[in-house]
Order: sequence, then structure tokens, then C-alpha cells
Amino acid sequence: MKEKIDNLKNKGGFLGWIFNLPYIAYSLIFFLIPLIWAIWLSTTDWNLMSNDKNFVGLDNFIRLFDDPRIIAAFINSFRYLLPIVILTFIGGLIIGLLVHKLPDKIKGVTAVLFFIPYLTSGVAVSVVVRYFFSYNSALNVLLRGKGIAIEWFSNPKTSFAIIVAIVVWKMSGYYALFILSALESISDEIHDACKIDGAFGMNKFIHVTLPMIIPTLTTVVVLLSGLAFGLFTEPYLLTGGGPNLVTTTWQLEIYNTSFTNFQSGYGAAIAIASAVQIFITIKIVTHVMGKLNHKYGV
Amino acid sequence: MSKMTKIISVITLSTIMATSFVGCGSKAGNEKAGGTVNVSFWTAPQKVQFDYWTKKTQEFNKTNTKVNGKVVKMEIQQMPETPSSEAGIQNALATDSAPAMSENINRGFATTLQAADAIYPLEKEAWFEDIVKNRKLEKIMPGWEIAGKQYVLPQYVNPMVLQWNTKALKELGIEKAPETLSEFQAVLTKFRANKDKMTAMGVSHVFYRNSLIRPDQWWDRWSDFQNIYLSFSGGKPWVEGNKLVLDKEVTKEAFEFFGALGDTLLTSEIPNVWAEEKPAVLFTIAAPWEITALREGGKKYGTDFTYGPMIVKKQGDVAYNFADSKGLVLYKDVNITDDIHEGAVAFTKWLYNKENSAQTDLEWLKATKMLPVRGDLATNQTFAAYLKEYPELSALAVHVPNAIPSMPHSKMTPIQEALGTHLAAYLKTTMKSTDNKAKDATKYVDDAFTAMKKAGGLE
Repeated sequence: MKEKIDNLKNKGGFLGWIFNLPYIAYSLIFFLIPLIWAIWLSTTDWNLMSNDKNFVGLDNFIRLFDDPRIIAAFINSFRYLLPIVILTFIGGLIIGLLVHKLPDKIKGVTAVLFFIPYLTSGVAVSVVVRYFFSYNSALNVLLRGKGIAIEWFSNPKTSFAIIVAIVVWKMSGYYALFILSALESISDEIHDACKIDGAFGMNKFIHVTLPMIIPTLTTVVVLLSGLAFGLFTEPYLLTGGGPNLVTTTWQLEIYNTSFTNFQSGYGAAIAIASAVQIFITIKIVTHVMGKLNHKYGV
Repeated sequence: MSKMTKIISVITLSTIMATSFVGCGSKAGNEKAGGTVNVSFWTAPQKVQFDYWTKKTQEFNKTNTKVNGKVVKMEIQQMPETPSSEAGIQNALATDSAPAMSENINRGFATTLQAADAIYPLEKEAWFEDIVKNRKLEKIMPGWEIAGKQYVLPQYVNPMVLQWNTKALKELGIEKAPETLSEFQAVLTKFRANKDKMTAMGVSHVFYRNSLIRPDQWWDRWSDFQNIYLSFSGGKPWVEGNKLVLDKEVTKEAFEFFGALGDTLLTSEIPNVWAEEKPAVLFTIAAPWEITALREGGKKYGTDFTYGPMIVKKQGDVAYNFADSKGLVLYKDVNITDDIHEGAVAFTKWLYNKENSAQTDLEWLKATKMLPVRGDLATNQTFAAYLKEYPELSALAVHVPNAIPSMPHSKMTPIQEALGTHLAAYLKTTMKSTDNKAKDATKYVDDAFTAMKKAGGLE
């Protein structure tokens, strides 16, 4: 028996490979091969249809620096990052804390209610929002009655704010679940100890609760940062990236370049550039959050 | 490694490889041993068009038409919108799974396909010449040329005209839709002078065009900028070969035509402006595909709305307009064998042969309310009764001879987007203006020309 087990252990490496094979194959087919293909594509002027695939070297990447649409997408990704991360984080934290205080009987149902916006289709939400802000909507008729006429999607500030608001509304409930689960994991003994030590309210929240949930908050901030770079549906359906490119995003530019303008090689170069920006930004966010975690976490 | 482990490894790898490539087979059709050749046909991603083609392909399949001894069987599906119908075709060509033929191709995208050598030239085919003859297309086909050849069999045309709010015009004391620039300016002046009267009947603006400030909606430049440009310039082209031949002075006039609207231009979205009980504007660009919906909504042509030509500079000028027009193309792809291609040709010949062509076009007109491209539409008795029943279609048919399709350039999209970007930037400066005099658009037009040359690699 012992011999058989040892034998299996010796073969552990091989069996490990066998069990991992499906995932390796999946990663190869859906990640590695497409990545290598995209890198190759970014060095050509191919439109995916033509028989001509001319090698253009780094021309597509050099062109990025001179393209106002790409510069706008680059800047906008940070403009989106700040409000989306901050507001969704605050929204998620507030929802998490409120739901945490509820009686156990209704806690689950309430958490699910806040989670519903996340499950709602971005397309459906965008269509509803379009109607809500359309010229003849109840809101606009009411405002015009008071002498206020706002062209919501023609105005750079309001169009940007609407997109941010949709994302915050959609995602706050989702990230609240992360925070709620962290809050729920704090044992009753700690709460009891707080009572004995006289720690209540904000005092308890800042010095006890927050340090204990910082690892979860770190995860939330990192995931939110990634989310801010992946915006597509809302700007695509509501503004098309306008007015004057103030709401455009990387994803929108990749889509338009590759599938509307049929410049697939250049589109691949944009995708790689965006991936580099996302990678560096996430690394910085992770590093900063790691430091905070280390300094203030329990 | 034991024998059993080796067997497991081989089976696992084989399964993964096999399942990974499932679905990579041919899509254009196939030839069965039993003597059948299946030909795939992609329709526009619209139910009404899919239903029409379902009926036509079923009728054709009943004829048991043969090519090279094999029975042709048409198989249809809607174009996958991944994410747009053009991108669906792009994907299909990239993965060697293009259909043998499709509808829904405009001249601009056909130029992209032609540049990629992805579609067949048609002009030297005897059957194509017969179809041109049967549908009296001799004078129309030159407008469809791409690099001196024909690649598209035009199917329908929507001449883009203006749709006027008849009741509001009457309220202003105007009996006939304006046709010249001076008549148009008179309408603008009257609108401003009667703002209260107009507001009382729910008309807050003169012109509704949400997409005028949306450069990403590049296709809408056909219906606004290009329309006015064509009527102001006498039908001059936008691009010839690889040269930007857009007339700069006329482009400036077209920019300023929209600029002169000032604060009477409405760009906030109205989901369906003509479905409202009281439309909020005096006019829009007409959308002929909405004729059925307008009727269902109780809107009467002549009472609630009327079609007027594109505005021309002076009396006597021809009101050239943009032809929202699409047609059929036959694809070249490695998965399309000669038999499959010939099957697609057989179907096209059957659709538009001498016996069937008028009926095919009439059924199209009835199903879609979009005018078939025919030189004899106004004179062929097959269509007379139906056009009489739909006076709005007759009103549109008048403008078909002056309708010009989109530019034949493979970089049409970025070129139009570049122009739209600078048109939108110009309109940002005019949309608060309260007089009828347009601001000077020279700078924006210059910028648009530079941007178009760069975007399209044009001289």
C-alpha cells in the first residue's frame, strides 16, 4: 500500500499536468494564441478581409501618440477611474454597513436587492437612461416648464456624469457584497470586546472595523480600477464617445477602429497599448493598497 | 510512464483538440453526395427582410434548379451583428466562413470588399447584363461603379428627402414645403417671428437631428451633410479615386446651412419624433422605412407630414439627394466552391429574370416599403396600383433619378467621421445663435479637409 502511494507521489508531477491540461489548453486557445496573434496583427495593416497583410513594424504604435482619439481615451481612462473608484467604493461601503446593521431575517433579501442592478443588462439600462434624458421625457418637460433646458448628452459635464452615475449605481451593490461578507466575518467576540473597552460608533469603525476589512477593501479597489478601464456599453449607447471625445474609452476606440473603420492592425495596437496602461495602473494601485494594508490592516 | 497513463494522455489531448475546432467548418454551403449544393445567403438583420427572403428562397428551392447536375438549395440566415453587420462579414471573411451571397451592402462597404478582393465583379457576366436590361438599370448602374467595374446588384433605394410638419407649416402660412435656400430662410424667419404660436402647438425647434453632433454616427453624414452638399453642388462627388474632390466652398455653404439654424436646431434625442401627437419640429430628414409605422400611428401623408426635396441654392437647380441604397453581392472565399458560386448566380438569375423581376421587386416593395431600384418604377404597370395606394411612396419615387449612392472608397468610414467631427465642432459654436445668419465656417472646413485627407490617405 505504502509503495503504491509513493509511486503515485512520484508521478504527482505528471498527474498534476494531466489534471491541469484542460485549463492549460483553454488558456492557450483563448489567451496565449490570441495574444500572440494580436501582437502580430498590430505590426500589420491588415483589415481581416484583404489578402494583403503588409508588415508595418511599429508604425501602428507610433501613430497612437499622434491620434487625438487615443490621447482622449488615455486621459479619459483616468478621468473615469477617479470618480468610479471613489464613488463606488463609498457607495459599496455605505450599503455594506447599512445591510450589516439589519436584522438577520431581512439581511439576505436586502443584499440581493442591492445586487440586482449588477445583474441588469448594461444595454437595457442605457436604453432606459436614454429615454429618461430624452427631449420629451417627463424630467425634461418638467425642467423646461421651469425655464431650464439641458441637452444632457451634448453637454460634456452632464454626459460624463451620467455615465459615471450609471456605473456607480450598477456596481455599488455588487461590491457591497464583498464588504458585507468581510463585516460579517468579524467575530462577535471582537464586538463584545469593543463594548467592554468603550469603543462605539465612528471610533469603533475607524479603529476596529476598518483595519479588519482592509484586505477586502484592497480587493474592491483593485477590481474597481480594472472596471474603470473596461467601459464600453454605456458610452457606446449613450454618447458614442462624444461630445468632443470627452466620454470616449479604450474599448470604444478599439471597437470603432477594428470593426467600423476596418483598421484591425491599428485596433490591435490600441488594444495592446490599453493593456499596458491597465497593467501599470493596476500595479500601482495594488502597490499603494498593499502598503495601506500593511500599515493599517490587522 | 505506464501504458495506461499514455493512453489517458492521448485521449485527453485528442478530445481537447477535437472539441476546440468544432464549428470551424464551412459556412458558405456544401455539396452533398446526393447531388445537392447548399448555398448560404445572408439577409439584413431585420425581421421584415428575413421574412421576405425566407419566402423567396422557399419558392426558389421548389423549382429544383440544377447547376452542374446538382440541385441548388438556398439556405438563409440573418447577418450576424458581431458587433455590426459589416463586422459580421469581416469576421466571416477572416475565418473563411463567408456566405456565397448577401444583401444589405452599400456602395461604400462594397468598395472595402472589392479592395480586399472579397466579391465578384459582375459587369462582364451575361446574366448580369440581362438583369440590368430586365430592370431597366442602364442609366442607374454608372452610379454604382467601383473602380470602373460593377460589384453590386442594387436592390432598393431610399432617396433622402426632407419630411415637413404640414400642420406647423400651414400655421406659419406656408402651403408648400420650401425648395430653395431663399424659401428656406423665409421659413426660418417666420418661425422665429411666430415662436409663441409654434410653442403653443408643441413645435419648439425647426430641425431635429440628434446625430449632427455625433461624429461616431458617421453614416448619418449621408443624410445630412452629403444631402445638402449634393443639392448645393449639383451632385458633385466627395472622393474620386484616391483624391478628395469635395468642393471646399460648397462644403462651407453646407456647414453654414446647418449653422444658420442656430438655436432652432434640436439635438437632444427624441426616440420617435413623428410618433408624437405634436411633433416638436418643423422638419427632419425623412425615413422612408418608417412609412408603415407612421400609418399605424394614424399619421396621414399630406395632412400631418409631407415630403419635400433637398434644398437647392436657386430655382431651377436639380435637387440631388443621397441614395440610401443597398444591394446584393457574391462573395469570394476559399470555402465557396465553383458549384456554390454558380448556385448563388442561379438564384439571382431566377429572382430577376424577365418573367420574375417585376414581381420580385413588387413583393419587396410591399414587404419593406422601400423602393426597388428599377429604371421603370414610375412607368411599369406592375407597380402602379401599389404606388397609388401609397402616395408617400410615389412622392419619394420622383426623387430616385437624382439620388446618388455613397462614395466608392474603402476608407469611407474614417473620412466621413473626420468630416463629422469638425461639423460637430462648428455646430457647437452656432447652437446658441438666435439670428438666421450663420457664423463663418472656414476654419472648421479647412480642419475637416486636413482631417479627411489624413484619415483616408487622400491627396
